Amino acid sequence: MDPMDAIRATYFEECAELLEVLEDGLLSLQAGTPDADTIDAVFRAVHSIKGGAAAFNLGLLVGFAHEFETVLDALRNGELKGGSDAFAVLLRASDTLGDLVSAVRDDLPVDAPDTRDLARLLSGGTPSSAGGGFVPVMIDLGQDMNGPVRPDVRRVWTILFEPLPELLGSGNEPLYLFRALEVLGRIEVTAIETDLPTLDRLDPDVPRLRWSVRLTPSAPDLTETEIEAVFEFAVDLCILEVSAMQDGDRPATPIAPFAPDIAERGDVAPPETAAPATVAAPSGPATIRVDLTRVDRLVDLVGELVISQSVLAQGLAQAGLDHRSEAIATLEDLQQLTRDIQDSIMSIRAQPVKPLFQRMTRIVREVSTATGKDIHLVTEGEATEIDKTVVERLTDPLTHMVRNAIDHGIEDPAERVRVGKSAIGVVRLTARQKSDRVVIEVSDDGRGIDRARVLEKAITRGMVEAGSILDPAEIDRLLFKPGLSTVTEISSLSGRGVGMDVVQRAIRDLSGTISVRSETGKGCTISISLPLTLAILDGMIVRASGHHMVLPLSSIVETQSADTARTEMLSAGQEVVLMQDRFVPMLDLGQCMGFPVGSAVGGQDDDEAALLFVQPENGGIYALRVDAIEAQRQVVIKGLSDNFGHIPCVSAATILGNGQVALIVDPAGTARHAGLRPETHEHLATEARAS
Amino acid sequence: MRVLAIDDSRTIRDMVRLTLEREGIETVLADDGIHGIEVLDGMDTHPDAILTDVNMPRLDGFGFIERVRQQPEYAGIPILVLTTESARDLKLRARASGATGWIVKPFDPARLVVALRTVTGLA
Repeated sequence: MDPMDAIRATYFEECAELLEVLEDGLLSLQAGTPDADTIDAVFRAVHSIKGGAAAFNLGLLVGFAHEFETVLDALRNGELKGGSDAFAVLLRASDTLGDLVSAVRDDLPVDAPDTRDLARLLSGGTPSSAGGGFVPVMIDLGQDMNGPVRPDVRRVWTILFEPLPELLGSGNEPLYLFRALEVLGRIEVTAIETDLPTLDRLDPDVPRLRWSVRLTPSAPDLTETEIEAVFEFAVDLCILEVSAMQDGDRPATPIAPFAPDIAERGDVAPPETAAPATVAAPSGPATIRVDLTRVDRLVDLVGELVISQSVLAQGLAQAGLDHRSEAIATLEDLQQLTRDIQDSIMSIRAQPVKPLFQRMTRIVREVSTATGKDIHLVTEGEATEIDKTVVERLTDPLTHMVRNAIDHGIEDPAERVRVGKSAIGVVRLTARQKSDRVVIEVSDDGRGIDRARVLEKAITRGMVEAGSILDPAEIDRLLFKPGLSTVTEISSLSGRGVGMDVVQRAIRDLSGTISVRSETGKGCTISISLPLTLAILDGMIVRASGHHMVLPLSSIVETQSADTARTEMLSAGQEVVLMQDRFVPMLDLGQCMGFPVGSAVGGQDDDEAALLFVQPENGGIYALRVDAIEAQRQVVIKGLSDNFGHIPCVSAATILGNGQVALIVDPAGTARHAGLRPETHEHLATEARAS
Repeated sequence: MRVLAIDDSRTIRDMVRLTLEREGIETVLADDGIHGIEVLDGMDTHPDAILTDVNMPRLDGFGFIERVRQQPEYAGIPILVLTTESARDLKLRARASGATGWIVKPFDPARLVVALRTVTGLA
């Protein structure tokens, strides 16, 4: 890749970070009292975006960033008072800046953004600096302000250079200035020593020498300006007289040959001759930037390592080694190490959900403006970390959920007031870690799901038979079915042809589950549960109907030998089993998966049969009967949905130590497939107790 | 030649480095004024010149230059200020803090190199 392309990529990455700082800062300024550090950070963010944009000659971006920066500068020096209106404008400007950055990055055609709102902010403070398109100007300090005069005769120049006392303190060095002059032609330098004090009065920091330089230019049209440019940095620190003579004239002062060694200073490091290299900063920042593909390669390798380890474990087990043998002990160490490596690698990929949530603040602003509903967004758990891919792929589903919540969930302000709620609707966005999963919820305090309407709609669409009676949870689940939209006219915001079914598919693709809770008149919560990592799962390997299957360890509450279990058969043909002091529904895993009863290869050994008490996300506990529990192991998740679509009861597959493919059971899907519902649990328990 | 370049923008740091290394100038980078001082203190030999941005978190460019100039051992190191502003008072502030010169961003690579060669006297 061209190095400039790489820097360009860096620039846009940096822009994303800066935009985050900007929005974060503006939001916190809007919420609280202005604090100087935050204002500074916000200013710097825009300033840096502008600086980089100028480097890449991105005029449109520079122009807008400049307008924005001007307003922020006014805010910084107190000329602009930041009221809520002002912050609304600034937040919109930050959205615009973000859009502009994206458009420029993707080479999309964009019009110059509207800066009138920004200008209006300023007109209250500093009218003079407002308005007018800013045109980036590259200022070359080597150019002449007075217009070049190009003489047609070669001249010899005399330069009289007298440093002022401050010159040396500024790091300017006469010798180097002469060397720079040498680039322009042949020079003869004469030191004028007339003002030298006696040694006892000599102050080494004050320059006492003056120099006269005779310059014979190599280019015939050398101008005074070009000579003065050499002394640019010394402008206020010296007296400089540049005069031209026709060749042949001689200056009054005697000429001595230029002897560089007399002016060599000891406090500057000698010229480096070594090959250039970038020296690592001794106390550099504690981060390095790594290409994501390298991390992904590591993730893949750890997956392979886990599989190899399973093969090894199986091999050792088959070799009939004693449990106390050294090989087994070492294997256990190896397993621990693998787990540590895996955790470390996963933590590299882990990212806080904060940027995701920040993006939602913008969605809330947009939808709130478009619908005329005042919305207060509350976010919690922004520091919760989740796999980078998951964070990225959650943007669309979450955007949709937030839009829905405001557009469909939250009532109009007037209606809210009428039912005794605050006119301002609240949308709550939360993230938290729950064992090896992350739960993200979007909730609103709106009207809740209108179940009668959903059912009616489902019946008209032929999704449910007319006259069916469904319980509330079943109706809520209809929302995730394709083709259900309860809004009569398709709203321009939420009704973009994307329904909750698409959201659900996106979440399933991430091995996640989605569920909804709603209370009429009080609001609605949509909950997404996602695995911390997409790659590896702690699983329990079981055998059912002669097939190996894996259950996520996190869903298993308890295990029990099947022959000691107390089971009952209920009237509806539902088997239940006593778990501690209550009955829970019992399913046979093999049957659930569609294997015929008694299809086990070889004789079924009932001694090994076991019950796993599993609890899916947001679901009731139930028991799964399996033929045997084989092992507890980490397995590498291999997705199936690309090839097979969504399979009920199955979330993915894996490769076991012996090379066999095993399906990973989806506990929630299995319960659903078998017709278990949280509500029926209570009912079953009561019935079982009565029997 | 070895140059310490300080800028809080990764983009600008990368560009400065690319520009300088193309000319065979060794480049050491720092993120802000405080980091710049840490890096400077940690170098085994002084850099031949320092390039610094103005607007930076923690310690800005002028503050950085003042702190550097307070230490006699660093008094002679040429320091160029990289600034997006061309306003004269900014240059005067740079001068007052002890800067050797200034380069306006977006910088012209050739001009930056010439300026560095001018203030260091090195090729």
